Amino acid sequence: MATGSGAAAAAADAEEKESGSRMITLTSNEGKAFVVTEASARQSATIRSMVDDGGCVDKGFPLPNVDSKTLARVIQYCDEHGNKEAHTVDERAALAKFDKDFIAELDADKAFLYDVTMAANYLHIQGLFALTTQCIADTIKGKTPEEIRTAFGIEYDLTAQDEEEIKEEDTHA
Amino acid sequence: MDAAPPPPPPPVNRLDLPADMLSAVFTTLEFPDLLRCGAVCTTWLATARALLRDGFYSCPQTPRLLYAAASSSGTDAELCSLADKTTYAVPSFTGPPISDRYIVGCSHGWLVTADARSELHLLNPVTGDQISLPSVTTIEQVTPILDVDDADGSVTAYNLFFYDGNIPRKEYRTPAIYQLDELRNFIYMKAVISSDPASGDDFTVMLIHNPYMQLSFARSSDKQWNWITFHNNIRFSDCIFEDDVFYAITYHGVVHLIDVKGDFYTRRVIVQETLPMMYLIVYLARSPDHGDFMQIFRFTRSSETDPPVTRTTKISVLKLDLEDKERFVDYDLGDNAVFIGRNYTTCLSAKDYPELMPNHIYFTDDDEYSLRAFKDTPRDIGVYNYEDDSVGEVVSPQPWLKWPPPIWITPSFKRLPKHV
Repeated sequence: MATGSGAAAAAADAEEKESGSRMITLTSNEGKAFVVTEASARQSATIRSMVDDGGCVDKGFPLPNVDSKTLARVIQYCDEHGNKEAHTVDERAALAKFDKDFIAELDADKAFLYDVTMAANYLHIQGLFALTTQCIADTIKGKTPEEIRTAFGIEYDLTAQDEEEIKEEDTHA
Repeated sequence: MDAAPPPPPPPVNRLDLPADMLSAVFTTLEFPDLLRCGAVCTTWLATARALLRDGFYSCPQTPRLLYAAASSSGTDAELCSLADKTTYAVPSFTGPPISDRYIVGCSHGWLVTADARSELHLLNPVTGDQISLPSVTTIEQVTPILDVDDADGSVTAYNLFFYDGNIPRKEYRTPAIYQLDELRNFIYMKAVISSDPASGDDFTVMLIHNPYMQLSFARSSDKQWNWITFHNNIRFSDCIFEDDVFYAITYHGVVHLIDVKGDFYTRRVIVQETLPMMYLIVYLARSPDHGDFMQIFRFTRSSETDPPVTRTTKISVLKLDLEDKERFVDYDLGDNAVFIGRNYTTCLSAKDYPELMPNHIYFTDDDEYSLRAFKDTPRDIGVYNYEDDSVGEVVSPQPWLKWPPPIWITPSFKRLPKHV
């Protein structure tokens, strides 16, 4: 370390005050750059820990596992939850309404819902991951295996032996 | 950024989540949905099986009716779902046939069962895990009758003594001899477990038993049943474990607080008043937010037929106010549903468990007389609408055998730690 600990602490303080107003660049796997507030980026535990570890805020963060379309949608969530307050009842209600509309849109496009789930997992955005997995779970609830396959466009690939074993251990009504 | 354009993403099956994320979805599903997921495709099947096998599956389950049903291989244990009225074979059940046991209680997904020698065992029907409880011969009023011709002194029958906690001891009748498989029919009324034995923590089983519906308990570390004395003729109807202590209610509505945490138990009366009603089945429950206590009274009527058929005609719920002593106030169930029978008396919010009907009481047969004497009569099982006092069927036609009596269970897929 070049600076004394006092100076480092002061620098960290200054950085702390600044955080939230700093901008951070996220780059999709297609090379498209998205500039977001630090508060928004901190919704991701992955990016948060890199920033806190004194990482490359200026250089930005390439995200080789996320495409532009998905990243744009993920950022939409992070902006809403990172940049807005949730202290009052009204503010929380507004966020809940946002989540509801956000997930309703994704629910209509299951392949995209999967992509956003994958990205939420990769970036460790807990709230978004809980939201998308809950949406997938809600789609599954009460459906027959055939209906589930249709809902998610899953190909049937069980063997006759699998079927036999399932029949033995599962429902018979 | 001066990076070269990245290579196009590798083609992926966009409709297949990786196993760890599928697991995250599956852990939020109750087991009937999880079973159906297993029949979707090979990835989903492997994920669902791994989740059940590894014991990480801990989604809170809605209570279901556990019963024995006739099958090609004899009898099977089945579970009945309350929402879609679907029945399920108990998944991955590897334990002893449920029909060989008497079921005397159910808490935290574990049945308290009595085998053909009247010995008690905890049994989790979905994992097949079992834990033997202290021998019936360590219950205060029971002594073994040994085979005099057998050097090992094997037990041939049991002697039951008819006294309660009154001092000096007064025997109300001469001791009676019960055969090995006969005692369980008379002695066991209800058993509750303080916490899930699979959690690995210490637990206690509280037993309401005959003669005279007394209390005995056994901690997981105990080798014998510990008798609780009361110095008068007190008969218990129900017991729950809340805030680290047992609350036991008598048929007269007296509530005792019993603490078994130390080397010795302590007990004190917290509600003294005698109820205006007697000889009803009384239950004790607590609201889902662990706030209000409630007393639940069940009124039944037996038909004039031979054998008589018992039917629940009315259920009342009163608030048990430990502070104000304004106890005889009707309790508003609101969004809550209550489960009564030989199970741990449970109150849940229909908001948390959407399969449940709010303001309804789900009941199973626990009438002592009918269960002891009439094993082949229709069981008294149904759903009571607390709003309009009507009684509905859980499922129709009823798929269960009349014996052993069905019981409410909240399935638990947590397995015992391996070293136990």
